[in-house]
Amino acid sequence: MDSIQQIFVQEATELLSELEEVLLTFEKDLTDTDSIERIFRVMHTLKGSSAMFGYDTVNNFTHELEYIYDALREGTLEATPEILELTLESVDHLKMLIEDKESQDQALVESQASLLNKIKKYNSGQGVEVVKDKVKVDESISTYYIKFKPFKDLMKNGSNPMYLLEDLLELGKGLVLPELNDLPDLEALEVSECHISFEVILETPRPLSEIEDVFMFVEDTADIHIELIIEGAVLNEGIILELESKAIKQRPFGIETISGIIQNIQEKEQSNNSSKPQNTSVASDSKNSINSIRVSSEKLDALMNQISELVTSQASLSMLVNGLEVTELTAITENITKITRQLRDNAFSICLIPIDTLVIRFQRLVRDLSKDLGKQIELVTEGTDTELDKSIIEKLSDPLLHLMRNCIDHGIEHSDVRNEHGKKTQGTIKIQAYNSGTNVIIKISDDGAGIDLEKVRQRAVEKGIITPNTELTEQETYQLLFKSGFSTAVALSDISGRGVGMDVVKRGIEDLQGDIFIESEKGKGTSFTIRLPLTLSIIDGLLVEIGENTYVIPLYLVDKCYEIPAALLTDVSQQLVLDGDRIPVFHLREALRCANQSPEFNQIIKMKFQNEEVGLSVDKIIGEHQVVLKPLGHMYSEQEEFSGATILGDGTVALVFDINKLLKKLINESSNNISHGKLSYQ
Amino acid sequence: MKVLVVDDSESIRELVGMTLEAEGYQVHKSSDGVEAMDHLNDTDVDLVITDLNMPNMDGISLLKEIRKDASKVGLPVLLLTTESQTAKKEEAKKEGATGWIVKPFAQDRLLSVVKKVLR
Repeated sequence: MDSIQQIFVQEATELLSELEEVLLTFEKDLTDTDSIERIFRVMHTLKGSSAMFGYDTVNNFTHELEYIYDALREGTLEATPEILELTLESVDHLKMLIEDKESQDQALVESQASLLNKIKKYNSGQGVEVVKDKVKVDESISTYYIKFKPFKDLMKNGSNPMYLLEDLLELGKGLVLPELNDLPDLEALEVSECHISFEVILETPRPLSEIEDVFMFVEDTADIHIELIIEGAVLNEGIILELESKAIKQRPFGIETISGIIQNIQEKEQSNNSSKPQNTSVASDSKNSINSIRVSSEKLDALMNQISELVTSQASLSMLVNGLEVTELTAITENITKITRQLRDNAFSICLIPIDTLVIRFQRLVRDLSKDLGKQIELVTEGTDTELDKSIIEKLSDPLLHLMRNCIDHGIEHSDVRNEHGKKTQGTIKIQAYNSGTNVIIKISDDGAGIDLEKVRQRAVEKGIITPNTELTEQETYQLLFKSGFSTAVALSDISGRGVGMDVVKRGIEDLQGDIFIESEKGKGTSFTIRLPLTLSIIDGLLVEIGENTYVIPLYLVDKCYEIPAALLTDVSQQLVLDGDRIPVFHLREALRCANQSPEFNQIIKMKFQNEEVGLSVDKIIGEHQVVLKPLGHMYSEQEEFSGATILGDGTVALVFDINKLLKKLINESSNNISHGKLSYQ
Repeated sequence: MKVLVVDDSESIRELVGMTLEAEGYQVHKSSDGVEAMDHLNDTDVDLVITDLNMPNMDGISLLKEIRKDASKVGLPVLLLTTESQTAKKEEAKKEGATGWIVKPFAQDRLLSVVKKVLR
């Protein structure tokens, strides 16, 4: 806040010098409207920000001064040298005020008074004071009837009837009765249009003007009628029940009907009131209720399986019903769709377990290993309540364990080395987990020695993984660590194994449809960032068409889609400029050797691969689809580019791309430049 | 959620920005209408908060430009006004402003309005 205050002081000073400058130009030509406009604007800005930062004197003073220039602008006052002189004096005064926020200086206070007097002479009659007196709140409650009928295009200017109603209900206690008579059939419904109107019964202590204020911006895009029903509060359960239980077709009730109902109920209640006191308290026996139960994971697996079957069947049902146009059936189907979705989400959340369960094992590992190695290491965890599918957690354990071992063994230095480098004696390993969209990010970082890029390179050359001439980016060099048979530790130790580890880590994470990046700074530390999908069995996918087949691309990978003329795509791999960036694009039609005629326009799907943007071209984007992943038979086990298949609503099968492996294969092939090496399925 | 804050006063820009950032909004800043329009053509945002009085292009003109643009239909625009600008309010309303915040405002008032619009 203080730094912003400083910005304000600096800004105010600049504004005042600007003001001075303009005033001097103005002096040369007192009829120059541009100058007047500029002076007014600068004063206004100064007034606005000074109020925000508690410079009340500056605010009040500028406010008065501004009136003169407003009058000059409007032409109701004529500019004179005296006015100019007064303004310049005021600018000097303001400069001092900015430096004296608390108005400590008595001389300043006095000069302010005399200046204000002079200024006010010019504001005769209209020097309205800036008193922020609150509208007096009348304590007595009144009940209003409000009819709010938005026009169709109300939402076009960013208004939303929901918010208006919520604003309304903030004023007091209210009952909203929507009326749906004008609502068209679902097929004909244009979602950006508003077809619902509302009757609101509102009891509030606020004045009528505040209710009107709620609708301030929609007066021209809605019919609004506000009327007092009765002084005092009337909304009670009886009246709400009576109004809500009436058939919705009878709405709008109108104020007469509503006041009639209110009167009726009030009379009834008065006669009843004397007869019986209500029995309100129901004994709650929360003490004995069971909060959680243990269920075997087989049962959960079975449940998930059944739900995935249900999702598939429900998709078929929806499709079938869509073709039939039987209204009743459509309603039931929509309901089933809704329940299926809820059921799926619920079952999902049951299968999610926090990463905590893994971390406990690591605490022990760090303690034991650091003792063995004679290092001092502290494990810090953050966000370990982040949840992941239990099947992912199970498979994540080994890769993470291995990364931890690496940090302890290779990352954190011995205490004496750390001391030499002026680091804290105790090393730190940090595990952070958090959600990011439909992904979970797990970050393991240490404050150790970092990775020596040059050493990694040398090693890779020695091992024949790259040639001495290979040019690699930083990230590419790090990725070398994941090649099989790579290990930079001088002597092989028991802890992190014989260099079989890191490639296993990477493979394990890729099997989970995740990826891993390394960031490192020599001497400062290393961090491994693992990105994982929340769940594996049911994913949201983008259904696309390539050739005569449909395929699924996991939606969480998709960044943006572009439509481009097919003629631009000439090769399996090429570079295209999209949104100003040149990115590699892979032409899947070519890669998959589709024989049929290409459509005139192709769609490019942009996504991130190992932190770089790439594009994949497809013939057509069909839309989003909830994908229940089914494993492919062993006949397809060679086709690594697919992680599975799914059954669509109409019973056909769509293959689900394993984008990681697909891209890797495409990149390999394009770099090998083997023209006949096109992927050979179909 | 991305919010574009348009004000020629750096201190107001920073104050609004800081308040919103503390609540996890992504804040973009422009110092006048022209700059704001350039920014909007480049980047999608979820809300525009703009001052009325600015050099080059003022708040109302910015609002008009936004409402003219087919790709920005429904983009909420909040105006920062001072109490004396009642006439401008009427005009803003006519041009399709979503709402306004009167300066000086308390930070929680700003947040509650922004939250309401972005729900």
